[in-house]
Amino acid sequence: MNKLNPIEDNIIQKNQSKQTPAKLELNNHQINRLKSGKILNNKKISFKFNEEKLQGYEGDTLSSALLANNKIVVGRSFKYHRPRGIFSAGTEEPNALLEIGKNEYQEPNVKATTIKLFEGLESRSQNHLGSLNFDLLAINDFLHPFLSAGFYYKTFMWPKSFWEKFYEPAIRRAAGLGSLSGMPDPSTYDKGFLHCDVLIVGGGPAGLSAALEAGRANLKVIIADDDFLFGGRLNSENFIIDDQIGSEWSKKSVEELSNMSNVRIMPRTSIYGSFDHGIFGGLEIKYDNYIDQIGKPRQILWKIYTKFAIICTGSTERSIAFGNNDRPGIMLSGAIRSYVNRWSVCPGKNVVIFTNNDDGWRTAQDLKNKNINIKAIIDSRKNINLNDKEIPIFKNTSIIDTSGRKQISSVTLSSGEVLKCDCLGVSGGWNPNVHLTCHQRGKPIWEKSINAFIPGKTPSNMLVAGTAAGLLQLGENLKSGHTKAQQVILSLGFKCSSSTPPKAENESANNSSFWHVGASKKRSWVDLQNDVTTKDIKISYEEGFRSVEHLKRYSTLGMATDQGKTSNILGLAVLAEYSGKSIPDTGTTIFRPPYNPVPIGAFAGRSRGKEFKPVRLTPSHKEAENLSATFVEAGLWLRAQWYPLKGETHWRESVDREVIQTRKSVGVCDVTTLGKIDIQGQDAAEFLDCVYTNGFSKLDVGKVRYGLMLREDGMVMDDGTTARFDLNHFVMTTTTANAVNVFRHLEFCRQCLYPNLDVHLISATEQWAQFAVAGPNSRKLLEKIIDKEYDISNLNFPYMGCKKITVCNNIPARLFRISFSGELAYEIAVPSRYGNSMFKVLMDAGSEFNVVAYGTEALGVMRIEKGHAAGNELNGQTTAQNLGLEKMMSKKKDFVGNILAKRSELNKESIVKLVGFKPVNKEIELKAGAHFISLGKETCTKNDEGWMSSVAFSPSLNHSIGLGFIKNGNNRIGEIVNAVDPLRKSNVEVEIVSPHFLDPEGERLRE
Amino acid sequence: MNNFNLVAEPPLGFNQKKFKNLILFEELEFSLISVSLSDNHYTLFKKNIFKSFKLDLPKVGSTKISTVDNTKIIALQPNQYLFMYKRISDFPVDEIKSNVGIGYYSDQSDSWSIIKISGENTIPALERICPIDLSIEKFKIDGASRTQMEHLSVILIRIAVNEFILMSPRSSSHSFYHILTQSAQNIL
Amino acid sequence: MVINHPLLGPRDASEFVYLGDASLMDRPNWLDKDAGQKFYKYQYLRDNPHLEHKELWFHEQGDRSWLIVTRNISTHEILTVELAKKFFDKGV
Repeated sequence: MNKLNPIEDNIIQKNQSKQTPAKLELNNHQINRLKSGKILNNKKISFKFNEEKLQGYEGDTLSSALLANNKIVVGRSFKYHRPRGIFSAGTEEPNALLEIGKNEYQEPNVKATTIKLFEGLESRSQNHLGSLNFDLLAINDFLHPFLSAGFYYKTFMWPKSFWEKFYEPAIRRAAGLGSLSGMPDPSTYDKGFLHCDVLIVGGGPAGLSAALEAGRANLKVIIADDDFLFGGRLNSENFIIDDQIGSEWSKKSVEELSNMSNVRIMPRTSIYGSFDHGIFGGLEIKYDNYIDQIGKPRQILWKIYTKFAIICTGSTERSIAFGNNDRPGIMLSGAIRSYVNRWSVCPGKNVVIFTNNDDGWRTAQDLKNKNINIKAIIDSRKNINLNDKEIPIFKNTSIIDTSGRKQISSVTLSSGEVLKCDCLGVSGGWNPNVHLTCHQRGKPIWEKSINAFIPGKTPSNMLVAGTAAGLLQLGENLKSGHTKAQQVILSLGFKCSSSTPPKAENESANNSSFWHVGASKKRSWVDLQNDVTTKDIKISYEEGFRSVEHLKRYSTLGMATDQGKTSNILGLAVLAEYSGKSIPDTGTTIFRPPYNPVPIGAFAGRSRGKEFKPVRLTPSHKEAENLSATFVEAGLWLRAQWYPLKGETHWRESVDREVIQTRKSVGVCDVTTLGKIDIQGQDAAEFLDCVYTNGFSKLDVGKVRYGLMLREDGMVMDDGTTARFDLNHFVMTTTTANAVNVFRHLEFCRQCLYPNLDVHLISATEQWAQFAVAGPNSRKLLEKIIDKEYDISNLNFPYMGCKKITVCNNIPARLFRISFSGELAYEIAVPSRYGNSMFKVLMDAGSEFNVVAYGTEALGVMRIEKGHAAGNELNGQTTAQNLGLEKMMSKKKDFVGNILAKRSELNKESIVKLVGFKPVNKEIELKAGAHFISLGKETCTKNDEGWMSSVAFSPSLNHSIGLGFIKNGNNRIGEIVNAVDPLRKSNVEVEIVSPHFLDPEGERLRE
Repeated sequence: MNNFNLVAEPPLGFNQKKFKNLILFEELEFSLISVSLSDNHYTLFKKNIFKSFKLDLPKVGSTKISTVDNTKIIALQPNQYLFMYKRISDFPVDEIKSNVGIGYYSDQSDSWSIIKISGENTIPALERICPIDLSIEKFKIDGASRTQMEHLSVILIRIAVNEFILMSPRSSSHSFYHILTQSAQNIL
Repeated sequence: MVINHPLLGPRDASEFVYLGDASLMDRPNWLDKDAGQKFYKYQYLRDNPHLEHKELWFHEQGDRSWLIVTRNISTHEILTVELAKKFFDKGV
């Protein structure tokens, strides 16, 4: 142990002599603050706890500031609502869970030990009905005999109907921790990506030692620590490194590191998970105070790509289970050292230490050096090498009970002796923080010499140093960080620096395996956060929950925000004792990310509200807005759905008008969203033969053909037209929804199935703004805008023609004579930069024909009137045969889907066929999704003959029409069936008709 | 003469936006042509490129710039090159074809919105959205790559240590621009 | 997850799209006598190996190449990554 001169600190007595007014005010508030210490030179900070105004210092955590102000009770326990105080000084904290912020900024279940104190911080205790000091739900504490492990499972079983209405709401109210504001979180969050040669997780002695060496060797280093101050335990101890006090050494190390451009120092960054291939997740806290945020992200979730990682996550002290070991004022012994040494706060004036190892003695020493009264050291061990003449020592003794409801007032020893005290430090030994080494299924192994688990096999690019590796003594800890860094340096082919590892003494530890006080008759807590006692573990075991994973789920041991950081091993040891097995044989539960809680907001990052996904706009979007279009989402696209005119109050009015006017004269629609794929190469035609059911080799240059594409299992994947502009140049169109999938599929065919074909693909969807110009006057309209040298008369540019032309004085364009509406129609494409202008020009040039802009709704109506299949019909479960397109499946060549489409089940006479439907009573509206039942048959699955896939009101026919699939449909034209929709309670008699409601011979197309 | 004329519109039209140590600039004056090659084109293509541009072909993931006329040749995938140069006319395919003669051409000029990002905060801003390692040792000057940022496909070309060309699909370019300005604001 | 692309180096998995077993490259001949059986096996039957698995990944947000990734599906370790198509242009 380090022999430091006692610093002339004193507990400030309440009744001490008069001082300066400012200091007096401070003293009166921060009564547990020591008289001197570095922190006292820092800026004062005001904050609130349960509406009471308090003060702390810059550099405080919320917990150190609360302790300084003698706030001993800070919360109520989860189940029994027992008063609880601060138990630890770090992320392992099970008790001090507070709500911070207010209104929409309110955040529940925040560990006071991890909150950096800031000006204006508002904090509240939680989980009590009534005030913190008088919690009505504390009645549970007296009902404890009934509230043991599995209580909920056993009790609230009957009557069954009570669960949802009564039990669950009541339990949730009683057993919840903090509460949410119920309002959207106004803070913003961001994400980011970092890359490094080596990530060092933890900025304690081992981490700093590793970072110094890796940084000096010029590796790209990231060192992250969840604390705002680097140094880890060095800030809580009085160790000497290289002849200076540890906290000074770490400060200087950080200074050296921050001068290296190859090192990124990330304080307040919690590495919460380790993932495949060297990826780590980190949560960086940027702003605590919402007032400072001004729209900036409060937290950043980093995805860190590493070549190597050195895990220097340190260790966590564990408790000992004994009677009433949960009282306020009972703390981890190491935490007391942290408060005294780092924050100049002592949580008590008469302190008892209960330990099973040498480390507890260190707390006594440090406190004694600051003139804090140590009442006694209770050591469970028989043989101890240590001694202190000024402190009463009780060897081979344990604590069996404590008293004091709001703060510990005395301890009862196994000898029967009762000692008065106001603070009890407990040390049960230290557990290496192995969590990150386990996230890829690494299994920790039991190390007998320290009575704890140490990391087992880790991925080859993950090394562990310091106390995380089980090296609990400072000298070897520092050395291991240095050594592991050198291993990484050499693996990456760099040269090690000539520096030697930092030097420090190895302090004594002498761990013993003493877990709980069997002699205690009183409840002995294992997991403070979940109110799990040794008795609960015993009951679980006796009821058959013998696997540690079962124990965890049944008793809730090790769950919630602290994930059992102080309780897991203790619980395991108690279970091992009951089962008569060794601890390693009992096994551990699996550690999964996150190591520390990560807010959902941080995972969402920017992807909130409208920023959830990008939006794609069509080239004519601006002009469509000018025409007051209503827009609809189609995948990522926003498309004009209809264009309401002044006075139109119902969408049907607009859509009907658009359809009628298009069919009567001419209409224009932006169809840019359809996928366009440029297919070129000597074997482009052969390639199309492979991917389409029908042939393309014989398609003439300057012609377009409709193509049908199958999946290999014979189902229809997509359809569209493909135009041949040149012998070796085709342009394929896909449906809007399938554009990405078809491109991927074509690349698969090109690279994996037909690698010997000379064919090249590039997407041209974004390149061309494409417009459908449909209706009897479409040619006349186009003739006004295309350049004079191009002839698009019916004779020279017949149906299914395609041509590269120029428009509007030498702007390149592609013209296709294709029709989705059934009218004489064209599609014209110009480079996207001209798209918005093109839409305007078409509308201007068309004004003499009374041209109409139409949206996706009218487009849909017209395709249903014409009987074209679309997304509703190509749903991935329909075949060419279902669609009545079996004649398009070539018998002369192979194509994807060829063989499996021939399966007999897909070719039976009874398969469903695409046909049209019209209501017998024309007044009635059809519903998509209705199922067909033959007249007179009962409505049941057995009699189901098919379904209605698309419906529309046809303004051309003036009644509702539908497309759908019905068994053997093509042979049942004229038959009446019922279209039944039990969900929406409708049953309509419909007549089976041809799917081509208009112009079945296609004469209009060829005019 | 045709009575109707078309007006070209920029994908974004913001021209330039300045933040602290960061400038976003919309590049409008470029033509982009993709040229795909058959295996048997390769030798001749290489020869023609050298003749016309005094250039060897770039490796996949990089760019070469012609000293003759500043044409950039960007290699993003095997057997395909993207030519980028100051816009001359609305018929860029014909322009390149007459120079190189061989391969399969596709005009891509209007497929992308091009934003130049520059300034000391370039890397911190991109770090928030770009999964690729942008350290100068890993992504060298003239390096080129396609990746995804916030669900969008983006092509990056490094011009200088703190200067990149970012090409994102035209239809979603306003979303990408929003993403960039958000990054710029978030890092300040 | 990171895939070490043979031309571009290590890339985040989010740039890739997974398809499935690399046996999908071995499409049977449609003219074979038992083509029906062969296509049935090709389409529906997969080995379920314990360790090494060859699988197809598409670098959709990258160079648009299809890759054959050999992956240990127990440890997630990626053993090899190759281009599915042998391009004349080796990217060098």
